[in-house]
Amino acid sequence: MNHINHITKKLAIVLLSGFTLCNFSCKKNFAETNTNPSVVTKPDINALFSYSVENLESYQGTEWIWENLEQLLRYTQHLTTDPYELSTNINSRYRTYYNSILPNLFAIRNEVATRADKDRYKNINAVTYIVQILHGLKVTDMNGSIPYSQAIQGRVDNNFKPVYDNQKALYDTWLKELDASLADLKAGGSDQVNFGAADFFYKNVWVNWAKLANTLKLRIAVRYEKQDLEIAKRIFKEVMTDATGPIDNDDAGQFVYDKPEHNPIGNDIDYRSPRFGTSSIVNFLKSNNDPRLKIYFSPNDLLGNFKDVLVANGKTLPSFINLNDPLIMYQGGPADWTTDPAVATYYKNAFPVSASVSYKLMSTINKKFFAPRYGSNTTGKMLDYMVTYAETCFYIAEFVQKGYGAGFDTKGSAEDWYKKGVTSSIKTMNKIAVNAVSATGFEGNGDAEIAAYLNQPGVRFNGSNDLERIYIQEYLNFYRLANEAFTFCRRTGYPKNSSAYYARNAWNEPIPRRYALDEPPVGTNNENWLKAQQEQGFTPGNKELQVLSTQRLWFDKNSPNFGGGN
Amino acid sequence: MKPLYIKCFSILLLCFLALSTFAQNTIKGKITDQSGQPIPGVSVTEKGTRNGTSSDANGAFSINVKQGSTLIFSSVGLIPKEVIVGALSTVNVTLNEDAQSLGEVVVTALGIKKEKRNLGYAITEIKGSDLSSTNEVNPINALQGKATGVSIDQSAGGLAGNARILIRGNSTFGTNNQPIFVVDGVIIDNDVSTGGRDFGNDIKNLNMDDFESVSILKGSSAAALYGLRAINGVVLITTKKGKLNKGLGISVSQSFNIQQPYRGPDFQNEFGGGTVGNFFTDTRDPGYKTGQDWDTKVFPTNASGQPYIDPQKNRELENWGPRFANQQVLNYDGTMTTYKAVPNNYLDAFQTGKGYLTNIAIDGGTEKATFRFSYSRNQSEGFNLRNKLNKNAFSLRSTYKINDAISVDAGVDYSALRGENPPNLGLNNYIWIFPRNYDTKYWMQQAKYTSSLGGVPKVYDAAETNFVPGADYWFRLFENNYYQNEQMVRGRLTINAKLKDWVSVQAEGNFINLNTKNESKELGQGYNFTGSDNTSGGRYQLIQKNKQSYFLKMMAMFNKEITKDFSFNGFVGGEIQGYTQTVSDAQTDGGLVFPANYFLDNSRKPQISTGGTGARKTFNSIYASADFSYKNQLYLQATYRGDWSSALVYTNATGNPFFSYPAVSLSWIFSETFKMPQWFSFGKLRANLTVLGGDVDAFVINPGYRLTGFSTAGGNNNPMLTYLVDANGQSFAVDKNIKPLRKIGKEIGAELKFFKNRLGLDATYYIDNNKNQGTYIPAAPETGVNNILVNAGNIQNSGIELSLTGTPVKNNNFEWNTTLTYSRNRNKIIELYGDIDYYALQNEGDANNDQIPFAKVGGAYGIIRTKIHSKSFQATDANGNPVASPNNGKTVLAWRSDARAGFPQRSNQWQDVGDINAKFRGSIDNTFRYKGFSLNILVDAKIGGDMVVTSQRYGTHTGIFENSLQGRDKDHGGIVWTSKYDGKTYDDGIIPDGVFDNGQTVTQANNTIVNVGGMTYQEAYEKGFVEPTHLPQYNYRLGSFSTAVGDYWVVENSWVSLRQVALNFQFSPAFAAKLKMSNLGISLIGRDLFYLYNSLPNNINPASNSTTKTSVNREDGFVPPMTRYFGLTLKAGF
Repeated sequence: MNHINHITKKLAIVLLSGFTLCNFSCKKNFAETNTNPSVVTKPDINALFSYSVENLESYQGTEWIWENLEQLLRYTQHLTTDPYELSTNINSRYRTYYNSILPNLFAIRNEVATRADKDRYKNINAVTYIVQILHGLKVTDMNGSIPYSQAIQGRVDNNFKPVYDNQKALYDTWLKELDASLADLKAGGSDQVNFGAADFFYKNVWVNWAKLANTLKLRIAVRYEKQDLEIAKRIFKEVMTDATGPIDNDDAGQFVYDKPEHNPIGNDIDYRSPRFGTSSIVNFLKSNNDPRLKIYFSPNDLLGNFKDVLVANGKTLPSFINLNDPLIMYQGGPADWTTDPAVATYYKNAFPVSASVSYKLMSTINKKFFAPRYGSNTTGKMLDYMVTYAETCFYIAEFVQKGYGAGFDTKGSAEDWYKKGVTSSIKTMNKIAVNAVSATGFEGNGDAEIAAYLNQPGVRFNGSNDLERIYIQEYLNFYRLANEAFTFCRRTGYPKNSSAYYARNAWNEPIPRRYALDEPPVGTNNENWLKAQQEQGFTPGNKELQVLSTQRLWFDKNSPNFGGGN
Repeated sequence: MKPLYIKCFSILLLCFLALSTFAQNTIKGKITDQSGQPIPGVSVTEKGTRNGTSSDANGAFSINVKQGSTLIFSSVGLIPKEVIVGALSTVNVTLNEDAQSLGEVVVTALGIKKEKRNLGYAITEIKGSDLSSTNEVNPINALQGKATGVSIDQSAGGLAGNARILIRGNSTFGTNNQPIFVVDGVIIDNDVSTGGRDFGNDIKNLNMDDFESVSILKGSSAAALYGLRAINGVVLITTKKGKLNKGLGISVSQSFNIQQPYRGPDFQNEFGGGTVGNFFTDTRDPGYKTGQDWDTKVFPTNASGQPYIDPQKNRELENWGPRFANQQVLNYDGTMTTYKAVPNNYLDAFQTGKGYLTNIAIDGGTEKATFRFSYSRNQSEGFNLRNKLNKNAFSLRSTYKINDAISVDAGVDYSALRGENPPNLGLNNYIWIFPRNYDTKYWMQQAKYTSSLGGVPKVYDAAETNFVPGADYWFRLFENNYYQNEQMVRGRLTINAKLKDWVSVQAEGNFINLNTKNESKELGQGYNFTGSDNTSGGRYQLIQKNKQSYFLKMMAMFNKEITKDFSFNGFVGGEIQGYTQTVSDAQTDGGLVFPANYFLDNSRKPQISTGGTGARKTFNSIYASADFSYKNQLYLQATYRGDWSSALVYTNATGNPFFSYPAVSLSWIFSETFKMPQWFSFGKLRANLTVLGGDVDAFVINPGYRLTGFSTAGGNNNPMLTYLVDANGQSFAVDKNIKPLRKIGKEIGAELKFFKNRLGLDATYYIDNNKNQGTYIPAAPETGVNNILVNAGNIQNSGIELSLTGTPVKNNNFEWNTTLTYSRNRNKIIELYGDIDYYALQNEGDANNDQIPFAKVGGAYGIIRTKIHSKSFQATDANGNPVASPNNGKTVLAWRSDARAGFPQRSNQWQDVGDINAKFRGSIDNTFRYKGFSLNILVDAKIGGDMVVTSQRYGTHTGIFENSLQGRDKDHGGIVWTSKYDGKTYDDGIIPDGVFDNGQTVTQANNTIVNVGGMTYQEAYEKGFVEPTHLPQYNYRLGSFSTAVGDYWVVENSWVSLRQVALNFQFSPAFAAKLKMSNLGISLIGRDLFYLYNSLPNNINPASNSTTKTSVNREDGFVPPMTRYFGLTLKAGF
């Protein structure tokens, strides 16, 4: 009894003293308990960077399915498919920007700022800006005003209500930041710390980042053109007279995502419906024997002895097909199916020949070119060229052609840049096809095929519609960059509705010229959102086609209608 | 501190060896009440000594006494009696009820027994046997309808699946506001399931046959002593102890249950599978004839002109095919078949479940020691195919009096449980894929769901011969296996020492160790069962989890009569408790190298392996309680608890982890104070005021960078880090001044008894406010974080709980007891954070195509909001200004030219469209006793509260329900007209109810364009601007992914259920004795027999919840059939 009593008393003393001491010693144990062993406390810059740049690409499967294949490339008439409402799955670029790309770029700069040798991180800092501008452009291209100058200030500065910067402010900020990055990249010495393997785009070859920065300046210039021509010209001059210049080669200079097993589109290449060539693009590629025809589109069933089979069964092909066409296996149709139901019916219905034979008449897009491993394909990899040399050449050709190159060395005529652009476009597209183990335009280096193509009457400069020719090549080159294709069509109005050279197909439905930017979660930054929407002249939150097709973004305000290029 | 519980366990084992021998010279007897029923638990003591025992379940006792001594029989609520033994060897006693004292003793917080009359708060106690007799696997289901103020909703989770329990409403912004369970002082977590496959949570490891009593501590006051984990209430379980027995002390029960699915949703049985028509967005089978673009109710034909049932390849499957008329057509597999409805095809996909439940318990004791050992086994097969459960549970509890002052109570429980194949609660094929002609029994055969090419039928392959839709449903069901094995060990030891007459000390230690293993085995669906991804190539996954918690307590208890009228009792104590978790999760990736071989190395790509330490916390606590009583009529209880939580300490050892819980309650038995009329037996008023506290989730205040995989771009393997992301991939920031939450609870109540306790009323009103809760407030993603963790909110729950008990008839042979309960809770959000009006209880972005729950300032927790409700019309003038119009307020119709259909248009604006909170719940529980028979009938009801029924959405889209018949053809009221677009005559026209929006144009058959803005469809139709809309096109759009409006599938979910009918028969002791038994009983129980009322459309089962989150009331496309349970139980004692 006494013994137990003693033990009890002792236990009580131990326990109670433990509690009274808790505010001092046991907090240490508590601190250890409450520290998550599964998180890393000291950030590694390279690991932060690889997450940001991986996210430039990894979300794009969603974008291909819900935006590019179903909407944007249909609006541009690079392809056609069943119309479908803009789904709620669009605009993944926006979410990705703020959730996955930007935060780590800020974290890198914050981390650098704490380091004693921060001067050795100037190049790294410069590259973080280039990456965030690259994607920022893509975000504003569909959304207009977005938070930028006050973005990502929640964690460090407790700013949870960032203002939305309008497109002009964004462009101006980015131009300044690109210039600062260019200056740093050029000044950086050999002591600069690099990203190691995390820079899987340019492998720490800083000059390539600088060239990318200059091409991005050109992207801004063409968007500025209809709002402030002088600024567009000024940017153009800066880029052309810069010692480093923009992207200038097909090889290391292009900004390409290259991962062996990359399969972002996969079987969704046919999600909801297959995609077909429009008659406008298919016929143009055919008429000039474009090496990209076979790369871009797949042949129909009119192959081999089809003529004999038709005769044997007493069948005549529909009149839109010319039986003597040597490229009869490539057929496009109306972009808007309601405008020509007679032809459109063949998109999904094969032409019946006999009880056991029917022919598919329409060319689908070359699925393997987009999605090398769709279906049961196990070979081929997808190269995603996000910023190209060809694009750069066409911007320069366009500006020189318009006379913006007066007074400084444009390093070639409009035609020179045009040819370089076409050459690079065909070579790059062929390279994508080779890697995808898809149909290619040629074997070998293609120099002969390209030379022949450049000499086609429908391709070479003729002095009467040279700008249109530049535009059309620019347009053809954007087959794999839906955002740039859509931006191109918006800002130029090309291909034109009625052109003897390259006419856009008839089209009746209204085309949204932007996305409706979703309101942020209730009770957060709603006032700034509302203000930005109203300042841009938008009906806030309205997602109806009638509204999205008429209320335009700032850069787009003075643009022609689709097909209304002059 | 951790090794201490191991020590405790060792001591506990020693205790079992300590049972001492039985004594001699025995006096036996039986204690009965006025009606001759045996009374268990009556204390029998030898006057003037400490010698004593108590009566067993049959009222029997046995005691050794000196000759000539006096026995005292006493029990709370009964008038004590003294009997002089003399030379007797048998003493049978009848004890009378003490009408003056209510005397009911209940188990309260920390396991302390108190007289209910003293309590200043509401408490409900349920007998363990009332729960175990339900034969339910899950104790929560067994509680349904048994306690006022407790809301229970069954889920669709299958055999071991969770049910949801909620006491007095949702008190936090979290999605799990369920009470904890405390078994003999051991806290068992009550996690929620979140959809998918539900193996149930820790609660299912409990064995109801071991329950002596279950107390539901509803109010904050009762929970104030359990600390922050008890913020949503406590279900307090006391298990059985051993006792001295007349017989061998063995009791056995054997049950056999069946679960009978008896009703599916109301499907239509007139039309079979076929597509909606050939408009642009959906590819139609090429076998439809030219010119049939707008025809439904036709078969496609093959090259030989034979009709076949449209297999609707690579798309959802609709029921716009021909009317059933026993046509001869080609089936999906090319065989000839008769085209007819299979009305029971849904029930055919389920089976009658069977369960065997065995319990064996042996107990015994002396005046010094008792023990009880039980074994229970549950072997069940559910009504979902291949859903099985196997449970073995052992329990040992022993008490021992070391000497007059010191006693020990120890227990150990072990349970092993294996669950197999709970249903996947995703979209069910019977709503989305299988048409009404689908013959379940035929297509569920292995030869039919497997392709001759291996895997599932490959409808895209020319070599395929079987184009049956949705074969993967059966393939997954029969070829894949999902297992969960759980082993739970609970051990506890309590030592009580009486130091002085008025003070004793209690030390207690316990632990739980729970190991869980999950295995998933999936067979490849690709060619030859192989492929390069998990679906086509198969998958194997192995997850191992361990959860350990420990608890140590030290308490000193006081009991002192200060004056004759004024007494005091109370305690002070302290606790240390904590838990840790580890998990390791490994799975194959990219298909299996060797199909159907399930081991981790058999992975085409490198295995995916994750794991580590899960959330962990430590708490230190102190508490004190003081009870004062005055003249047995006024009782005051004051309690105080202080907690230190590790979750509030920063890595650098700063932070303020302390918070406290003061509480006070008052009970006044006014019927003792004032003289009451004869018919007024008892009257009490009670009131209490409580403050509770709470911390935040483990780790969240100590951020870091998370490794989120590797980038292999450029042929590298670069690790990728992200900053502070939660489990859902959402980034967040933490308010630097985060502090503990505060919940303030107030409650008043009255307890009245009339007519010698034949009629009783218990009424409670409560009001709880929960403030400063650590809450993830959303941030605009542009800030770089998705959420900010701040102290926020003021959630108020107020309500009334009424319980009316009566004994309308009572005589020697027959008794009728009835209990009516009614409870209503009103949840109100007083404040959120800053100027925020709504707080999303689910990812807010989901509302773009769904309905999600919110907490709304001025409204409630659980307001359903969406952006896809229909839009109301507002006419405008030329300048866009609103003007008056008779059509204002009508539903706006959208128009699609490729479908030639008008259908309600989405508003794309936030709208409040429902509220999950019930108006009230109630139950009527009647028990009739006649001699050895008793019959119990329980009806319970939930009235009000909305449910999101997604099956209604998808079933409308696919035309599977009865409500899709109206307008299908002339016979069903469809308009017959000849279309100007193609000159053909159709009979499936409807005029949608609504008005075209301003500026809406319609392209006419002659290609002219007409503005129909502001006209109703009827008006436009009468003017000849639109033709009737084909019903299939209308339904298709009304339920489609991209255009559906939510108006019709957010529906009231009220029901009245005949929850239970139970018939018990207890054989007479004489008869039992002939069979060498001390008692024998048989019971027949029916549960969930049918719904007397169900407000859901198409008779959808109200027990369809896809999750037990307390924020959600929704069905996700898996409607389990209504299922009733029957159980037969034999109980025998030896």
